[in-house]
Amino acid sequence: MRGDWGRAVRALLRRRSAACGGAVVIGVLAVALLAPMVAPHDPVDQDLSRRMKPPGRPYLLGTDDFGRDILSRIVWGSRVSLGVAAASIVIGASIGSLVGFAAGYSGGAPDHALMRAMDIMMAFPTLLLAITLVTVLGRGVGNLVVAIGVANIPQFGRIVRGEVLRIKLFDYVDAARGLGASHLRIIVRHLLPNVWPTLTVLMSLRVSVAILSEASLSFLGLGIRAPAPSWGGMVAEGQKFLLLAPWMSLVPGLAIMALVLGLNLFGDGLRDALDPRLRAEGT
Amino acid sequence: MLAFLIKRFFLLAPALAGAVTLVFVVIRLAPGTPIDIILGDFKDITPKSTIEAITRDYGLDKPIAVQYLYYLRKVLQGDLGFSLLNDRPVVSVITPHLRPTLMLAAGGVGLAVLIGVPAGVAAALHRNTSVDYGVMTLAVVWLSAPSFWFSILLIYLLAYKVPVLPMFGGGPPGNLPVELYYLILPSVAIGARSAALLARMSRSATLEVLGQDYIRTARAKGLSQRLVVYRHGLRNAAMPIVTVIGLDLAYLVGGTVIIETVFARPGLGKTMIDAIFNRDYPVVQGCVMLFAAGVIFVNFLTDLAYAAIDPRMKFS
Repeated sequence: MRGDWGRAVRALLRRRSAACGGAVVIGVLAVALLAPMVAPHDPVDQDLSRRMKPPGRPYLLGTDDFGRDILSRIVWGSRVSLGVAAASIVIGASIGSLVGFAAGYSGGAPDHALMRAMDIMMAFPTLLLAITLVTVLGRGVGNLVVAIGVANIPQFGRIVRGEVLRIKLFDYVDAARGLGASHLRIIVRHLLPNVWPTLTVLMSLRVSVAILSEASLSFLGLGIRAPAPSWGGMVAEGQKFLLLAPWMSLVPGLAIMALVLGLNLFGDGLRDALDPRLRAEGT
Repeated sequence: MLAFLIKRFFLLAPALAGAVTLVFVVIRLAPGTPIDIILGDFKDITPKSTIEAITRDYGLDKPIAVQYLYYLRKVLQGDLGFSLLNDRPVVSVITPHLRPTLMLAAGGVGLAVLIGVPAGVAAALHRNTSVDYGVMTLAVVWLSAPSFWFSILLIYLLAYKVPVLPMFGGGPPGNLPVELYYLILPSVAIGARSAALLARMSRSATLEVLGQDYIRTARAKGLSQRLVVYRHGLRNAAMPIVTVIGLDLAYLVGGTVIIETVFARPGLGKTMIDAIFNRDYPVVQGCVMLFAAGVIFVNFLTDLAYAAIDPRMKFS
């Protein structure tokens, strides 16, 4: 397996677009981790005497309606964007994989029941399901993560199940069973490592969807509460002043777009390098 | 064909029942009693007798299985409860908002198909040329742009800087030409992402088909490029494209919530968001169910489209 990953990394670096995407993602990750050092100003410091200043010095990307520095808010907002997206995809991928393994490995009635449940969840578009869950659970970062995570379960469940169904028919799985391996051993030692590449690709592709979901929920006012900076919230706040200070909403939107573009380019490259089969799934 | 239609049609019922059940489960999962959810902030000012009446009306004093049957019966009767805001039946609150949303979804998909499919096919036919790179670059950029941000950019550029299109609203109801005029910007905003997705999918589907043996045979027969592409190529590339249109329409239905909020269009999505902020949960529930029903219906239509494109599907 190790050799496969090495080859994948090399293939990834050869593709210029994937490498660029990866660089953008690593850059945003670094900014998020080093936010206190990178941000030039306090992201929540209000001063009405400098409200809605256009981009320039000393506020490189301008200020908002409370006179807060937009660049610093974008820097701190990257933590929300990446943190919520990563945590929710971990939840979605974990539960989705459990469902996928349970359904694909056991087959029969449990498989049928679990997949019908996934179908039912799929009848709700991801964003709509997340909105519904946040509404029922209440606001807050934790509930936001749970809502976006749960809304992502069916995508993972279906694709992992498909992989398990395919792999469990291979001869070496039969051989392991013939040698008396337990179900747990077969799943952990033989199935999981082979599902892992697909899972990695799917996670990288779904993270960008999760980032857009978080931004959309914050834009609608159902995400992170003000004054904490979130990119989607900043775009929403800026829309009120679009004609006076267009940078207020257009600049944070560019940040979302750059991060999602980076993730998409990286994810596309990863998919081509690791698992070309996923291309057909339309993910 | 008729047997296929009937079979698919009867699969709609379990799907709808599943969606309605999920809504029931989600509401029961929420912290607090269903009364808290139904009444929200109004609970403290609601008279005790009313709470008891609601408890009886929804069967909340009965075991959960009985509650579920009560709930199913009500939904089947088309009774989605009453709005907490004005006491009107939820059904009559939300139905007037259906039209703007349907128009938006149709406009978005229409634009996406008209732009995305030809662009993707062109990219495939001119593989590895500047046409291909141009289309694919635009597509990946568009796929990454958040729809609410793209909407705001469109408003800024085409309703303010160059004021040719209306900034927000749905236009006067009933006046179709003006409504269509108001529909242009929101349709572009919601359709751009789908167009990008369709362009990518159409490109790879076309490339795959063009690599098949029967295309080589058609070429060997001396058919013109145009006949090869249109008669033999596109029809076979249509299946995956229709799949993506169907899948994406479901995504697009969710996206109407955002677009309608940005453009202040009086549709179902905006009604739902307004209801969330008003804590008018029966209306929220009604909207969610209607959205799910819409997605299930779209999946049904996608199945029908399969059968129309590929006669083999009818027998499988």
